[in-house]
Amino acid sequence: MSVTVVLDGAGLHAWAQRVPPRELLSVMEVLRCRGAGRVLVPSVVTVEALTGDARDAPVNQVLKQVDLDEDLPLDRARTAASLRQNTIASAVDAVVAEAAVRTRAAFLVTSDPGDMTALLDRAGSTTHVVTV
Amino acid sequence: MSAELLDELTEALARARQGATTRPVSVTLPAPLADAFRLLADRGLIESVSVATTRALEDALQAVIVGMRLDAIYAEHPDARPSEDEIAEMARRAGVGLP
Repeated sequence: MSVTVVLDGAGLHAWAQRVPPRELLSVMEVLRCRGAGRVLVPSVVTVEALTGDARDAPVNQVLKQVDLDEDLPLDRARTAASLRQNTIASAVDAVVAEAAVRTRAAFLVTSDPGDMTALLDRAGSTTHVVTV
Repeated sequence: MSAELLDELTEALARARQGATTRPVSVTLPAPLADAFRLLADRGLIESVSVATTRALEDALQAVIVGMRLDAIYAEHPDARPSEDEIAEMARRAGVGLP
């Protein structure tokens, strides 16, 4: 079974660190142990994760090694919007959560577990939220 | 493994995901597996055997690239390596079975 790991902006930053957080290393070890997986990053998270200057170098390096999901067709946007209704989650968070639900991700790595868990719960998702 | 190899593999994965040109290659599969995937394709349950195979190979390559990055991190920071118990616990939380 392939393991999908979805990263939000903080998750992307964490994976780009010289020494990522131990929890995230454990997540990636699970992917390695399975021998097949996908590290998925909806491109919209780069709006929050990038600065547009030299500080982006580590993140840009990691972006080459992940599956950058650059498509947000209307049906996915509608699903994200419905997840977000009556919550305080951001639009970006909703897109990240929709990606995790759609791909049946095993893990979602975020600095905002409260909002992400609320979004995933609305979809009945079993994705495990990892906090960085 | 070298940084050059990691760069080469990373570039190959990125280009594959961006829809690189394709070429026919010959692979040897267990006959029942080939038959099963042909059946899935014929019934429209998968797009094609080629697409399913490509996806599987991409996912395998991703795991190798992640593993190479992990090994590079541990080479410089041996204390960062999580224990087998930590990895097993993380897998358990997500309901992922480990081989």
